[in-house]
Amino acid sequence: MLRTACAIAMGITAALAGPAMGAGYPEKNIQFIIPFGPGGGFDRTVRILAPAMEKTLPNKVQVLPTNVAGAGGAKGTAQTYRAPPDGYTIAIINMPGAAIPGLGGEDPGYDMAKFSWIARLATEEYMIAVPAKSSIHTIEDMQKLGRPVKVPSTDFGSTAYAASEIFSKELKFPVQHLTGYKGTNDYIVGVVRGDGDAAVAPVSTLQQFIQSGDMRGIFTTEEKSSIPGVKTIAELGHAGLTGLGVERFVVGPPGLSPQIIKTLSDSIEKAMADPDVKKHAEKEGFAFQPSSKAKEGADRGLALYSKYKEALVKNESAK
Amino acid sequence: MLESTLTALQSLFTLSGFLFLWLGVIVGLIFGVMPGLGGTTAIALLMPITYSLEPNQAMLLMGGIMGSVSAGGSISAILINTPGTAPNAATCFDGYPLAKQGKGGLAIGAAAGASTIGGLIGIFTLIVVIPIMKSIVLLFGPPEYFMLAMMGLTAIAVSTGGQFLRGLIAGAIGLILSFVGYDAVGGTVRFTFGSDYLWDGVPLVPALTGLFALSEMIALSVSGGTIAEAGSTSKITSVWEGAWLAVKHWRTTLQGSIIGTIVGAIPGLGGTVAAFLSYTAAMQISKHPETFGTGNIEGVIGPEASNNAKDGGALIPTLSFGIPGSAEMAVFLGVLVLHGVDPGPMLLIHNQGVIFALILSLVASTLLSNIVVLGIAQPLALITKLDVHILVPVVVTAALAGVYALREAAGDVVTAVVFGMLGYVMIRFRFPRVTLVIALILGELAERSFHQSLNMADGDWTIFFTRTTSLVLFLLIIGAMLIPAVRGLRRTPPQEASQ
Amino acid sequence: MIGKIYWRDFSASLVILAIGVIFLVWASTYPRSAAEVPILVAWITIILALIDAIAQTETSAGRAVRQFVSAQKIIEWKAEGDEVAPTSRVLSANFWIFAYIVAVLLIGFLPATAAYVFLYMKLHGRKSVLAAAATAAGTTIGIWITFGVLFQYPLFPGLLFGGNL
Repeated sequence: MLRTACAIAMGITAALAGPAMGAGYPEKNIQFIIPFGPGGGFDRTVRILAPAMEKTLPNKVQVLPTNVAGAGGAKGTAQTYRAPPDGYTIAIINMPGAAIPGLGGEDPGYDMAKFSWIARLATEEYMIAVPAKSSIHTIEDMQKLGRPVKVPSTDFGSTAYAASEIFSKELKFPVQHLTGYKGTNDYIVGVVRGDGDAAVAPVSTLQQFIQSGDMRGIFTTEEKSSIPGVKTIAELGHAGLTGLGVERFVVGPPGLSPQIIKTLSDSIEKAMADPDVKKHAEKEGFAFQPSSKAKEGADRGLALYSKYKEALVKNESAK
Repeated sequence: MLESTLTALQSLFTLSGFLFLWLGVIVGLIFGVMPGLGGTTAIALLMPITYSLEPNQAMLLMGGIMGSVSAGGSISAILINTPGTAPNAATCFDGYPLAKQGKGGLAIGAAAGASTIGGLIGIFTLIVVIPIMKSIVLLFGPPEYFMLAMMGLTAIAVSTGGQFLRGLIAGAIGLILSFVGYDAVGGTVRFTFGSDYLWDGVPLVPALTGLFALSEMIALSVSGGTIAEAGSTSKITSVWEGAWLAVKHWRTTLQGSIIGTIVGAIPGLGGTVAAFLSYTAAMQISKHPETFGTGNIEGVIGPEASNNAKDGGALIPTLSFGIPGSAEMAVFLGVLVLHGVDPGPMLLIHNQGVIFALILSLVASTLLSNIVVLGIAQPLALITKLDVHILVPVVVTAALAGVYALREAAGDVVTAVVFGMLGYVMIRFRFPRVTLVIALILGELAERSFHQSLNMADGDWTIFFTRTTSLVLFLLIIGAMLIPAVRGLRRTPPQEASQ
Repeated sequence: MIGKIYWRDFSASLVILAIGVIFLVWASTYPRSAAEVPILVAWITIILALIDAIAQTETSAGRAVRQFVSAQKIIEWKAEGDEVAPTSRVLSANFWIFAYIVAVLLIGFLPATAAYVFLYMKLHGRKSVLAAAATAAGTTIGIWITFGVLFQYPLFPGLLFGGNL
């Protein structure tokens, strides 16, 4: 309610003060699209960031988090892609999630490479873990299992699916995907239960299951392992896979002017210093990169996943 | 553990804590009453407000909402035959006839009483089960989910009583509708006409709102008049009389509560299935099953007890592993994470205080919301004296505004109306709507779990019978199907009944 | 030898049969594992529709089905009783909701709500102009305050005024 009252007050002030402030972006409210439903990781991130951005933007406008869920994230992403490049529509997207449909040859309604990259917000590395009482302890165990390693995941286009495919190809153990679980925790519990052999998920999520004693880690793609006793993939001899994980970018439609990009990027950078955001950032593993670096990061990620394009296309005949 | 409880209690008994609780209760009641809106929307709506709150205060707010939504929903179910939230659909069957007899106040009172008891039993079960929560959740995997979905489907089919055939047909239509959308096990998109709108399947809340609320409005629009028929007015005391009835019929209440807790604890099944199962169970233990549908108060008590018990149940998988037991819980998890509480196996170890605050809030909200309902039931029941032509447009517009508010998709409003007209056709042609709804909800779960189970077992279908829990569930299904047959054999065969 | 057919319900069975067949054909166009369960359900629907159709006839088979399935009033309608309503009224009741939806899509929620409530009460409900206007105003303002102001939900502005689907 308080927020509503403030919003109304600010709106009135802005309306009254508007013409007097002179030209300059931003002049009206900015819509910050979240391609998923409320309550998820992306949703939280944006809703923490948005109020902080309002304080750090040059003019007093609102940043409105807007959920546009559907088609696994493609709907909101496509909506952003199609929006006019005036700086009033931006979005948070997930790499490689958003890239995978395109790599597989479908048309999701947007071209990944053409987005205007504003900033990179967060990165979460991945880990493989097995149930605590599993007989698998190392990568060699997975190679010698004698049958494919069963890896549950939510869906064909999911990051966990893509990551496990890549692990499978690089580390040379066969993988059988069990898709259809409703969420990350769902399939992790599935592994604890014995539905599958191993779970591929962000380190921060699997960490709890290791702490509680339900699971044991095999390796992590972090640069420095944050789980005692679990080695990094580099230490195990496959440094090329370091950094494989989920990255969150803030993007705008193709053709956004460099000044607008810089304004937004700077605003986000300053917003990072906000105490609320900082608290959240530590927990979520923010690794902010401004627009200049963001595009590099995006390209690198795209290149890595393109390398394994064939693996990511779901194979009808293989079923 | 004791200190956590004390801290939680402390936060409740501050002025701001109390205010947040009340805010949750009021919002929950309003959202519950209005068809189209519900707990999920309420939590999502108030989530931004919780950003600046402390975790305990946020829990008071959320618990306030969760405990009161179904109480609000029972009001519309009883007075205008329009469930405020999907689980209240079963309450319509006997609640509405009571309203028509001028006994709306009595019914609401019974609903409130049953809700209170049911809610408390659900929470109590949650608390008792906490130490073994994880093991319980681990017992249920895809094969078990499949069996549970089949149990839900067959239980509905077997207990629609007469019009068994049309009940099955409506169920088949529901299954057909449930296959629309993206199938994550096979990776194919089915039956969507190529559009994005149906990618996630037929949207449930608009469909339900249309099927029950709008169709009812169309029916009232046709019949005219007022809802309450004869000139009988219920006395003021009848509301409390109703509440007392919930205690008097304690077996029904207890049964409803247990069913609600268990079914609510199983992700994917949910409150609607629980309510209907509870209704049919109430009918089975009743001394006068043939009066169900004409205003038997037990038909209100059973489902309403289940409706509040399910909240306690839904928290079991949510708190033990971070797996949402219902759509409400999914959004609620978002609120938890926002406040630094990570859902997962460490939740109870790291954040006991917050969880106790939630539980406390649920208890308080269950009590408070039902007291409020008891207080306003009498005046509200006057709606049944209102001319239907005033009621219909108001309910239609409010319900559709609520449906639109869900996802800001104009398509949802169209879906609601389409289902509204479908629902009306079903009413006229005597096809039960409830079996369609249950099938729509369970169809996706059944198919997905089936395929998942086969994938897990590399195509070996005996997995359904080699896992203990799955086998037990299967035997229960067979047993449930045989009961009516055995009963039928015991009774003398019916006379050739007139059409 | 068909004998009497209860046409109203018989046509309903035929519609279900048609739905089953269409669904069967549609489902068959999908790859095997995605089509399995839908095809099974399609067949079940077709069979049930056929049985239902038979139940609507006055043949010995029909009577047998009816007895076995026992057409008592089911729970949902014991309260309603048998609805016999003139077709014109049924059509007009459906028409009003349909018209409201079209109006919402075209001119937006608030204007459509005001118009719908007023016209419905006046024309279909035969209420006085005063009652109709008061309710229309009250409902529209109520919705605006609850959804637009309090909850800050956007209300669809209507295709003509810039909303998009």
